[in-house]
Amino acid sequence: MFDTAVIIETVVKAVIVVAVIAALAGFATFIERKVLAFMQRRLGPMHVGPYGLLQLAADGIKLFTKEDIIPQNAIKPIFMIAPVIAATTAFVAMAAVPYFPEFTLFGYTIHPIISDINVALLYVMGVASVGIYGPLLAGMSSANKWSLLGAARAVVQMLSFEVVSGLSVLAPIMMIGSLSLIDINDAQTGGIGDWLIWKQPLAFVLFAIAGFMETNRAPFDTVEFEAEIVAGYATEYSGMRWGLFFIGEYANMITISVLVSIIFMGGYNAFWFIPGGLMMLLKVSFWIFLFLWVRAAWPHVRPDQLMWVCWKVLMPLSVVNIVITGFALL
Amino acid sequence: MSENLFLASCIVAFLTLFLPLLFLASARLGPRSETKNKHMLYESGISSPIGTSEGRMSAKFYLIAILFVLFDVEIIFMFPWALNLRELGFLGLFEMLTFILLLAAGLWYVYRIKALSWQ
Repeated sequence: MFDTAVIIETVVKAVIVVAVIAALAGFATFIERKVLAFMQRRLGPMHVGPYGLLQLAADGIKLFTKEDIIPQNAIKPIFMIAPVIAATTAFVAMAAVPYFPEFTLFGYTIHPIISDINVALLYVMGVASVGIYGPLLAGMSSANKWSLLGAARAVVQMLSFEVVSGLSVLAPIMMIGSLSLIDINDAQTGGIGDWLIWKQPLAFVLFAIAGFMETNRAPFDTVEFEAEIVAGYATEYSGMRWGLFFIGEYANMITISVLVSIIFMGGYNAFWFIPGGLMMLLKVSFWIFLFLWVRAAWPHVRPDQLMWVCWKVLMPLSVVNIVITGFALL
Repeated sequence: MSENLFLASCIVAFLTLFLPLLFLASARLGPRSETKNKHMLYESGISSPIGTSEGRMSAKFYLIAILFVLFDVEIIFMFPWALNLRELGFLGLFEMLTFILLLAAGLWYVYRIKALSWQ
């Protein structure tokens, strides 16, 4: 059924993507603490290693060796499997995302995408939305009222986000006529003026807001807001089980950053003298930084405000955007 | 191509399933201790939790979930149209406009019965 070479190539790519993204997710926690600290005129972690760089390793060792606690009334199998769902879906969504332009290594042309399919965008959004089951099952199986509240909020928030992100991403698809992320990237080869962000500013803003909602980042962190519901669905989790939720959240952040960069900001096309791969790294880093910046700058919104904005403002706006795009194209 | 994607998804899923197992196995490295209150529910330090987790949730949560099913299915219908917009032309656009109007009427009805207000 499969060619051996294809299987080997896919395995190697998958190992690289999973290892690099898992490492980046860990590194992003350090970056987050540093960025937030500098924005609050603090220094952040400084004691472990130069500039606190080894703080990451110290935290990792602590997490790895932590005791695995399952609370007494929890439904054990569901409680144990929920964080695995959250982490796995975050990584599986990356199977159809291209990261860099294709390059030649030892005579082979390498496409830096695990599997090149023509419905990549639909696949990514579909798999990412399965990730809702992580928080939902975690909250419902923990037998803790904060967890249950957090789960209910998580589901309502992520479902609402699904509608907005699905509608906002329709307008760029109408312009390009393809769901393949590589096609979307190739449609923006002509420099900064060709980026879809100029033709679809509204869709860009809507998709960015929906991205913040999907990853449960501030200002939409109603799911795990400490002052209201302790830690939401993750209240009863500790050690590496909690760490899996964390890795999933940061992996989702990276996926959203890559998606926004490809769909709206020109993807991995070379820009002026900067090669495409470096351009992609710069864009993704900028988006990760933006996630942290917003967290430092904005207060958190209430769940009812979130629902209000999502269903009464963002959704009608995205429908209007689709209608305008349709008339403009024909 | 879809076989290729299936293969890729399976491999990534296997790898990410392998990671947690490794992580969870490493929890055995650390010391373990049993104390009386360790497996209690967390409630900000209160040793006897107040209330149960089987409290009733607001119906709004269920309502939003049902609305999601309706609207998201409609969005899925719009994806094939968006892909073939240029071939379908104005006829397709006006047909989709009718569909969007029906969707908007539904949203307006939902708005009128205050399903979207959380007060």
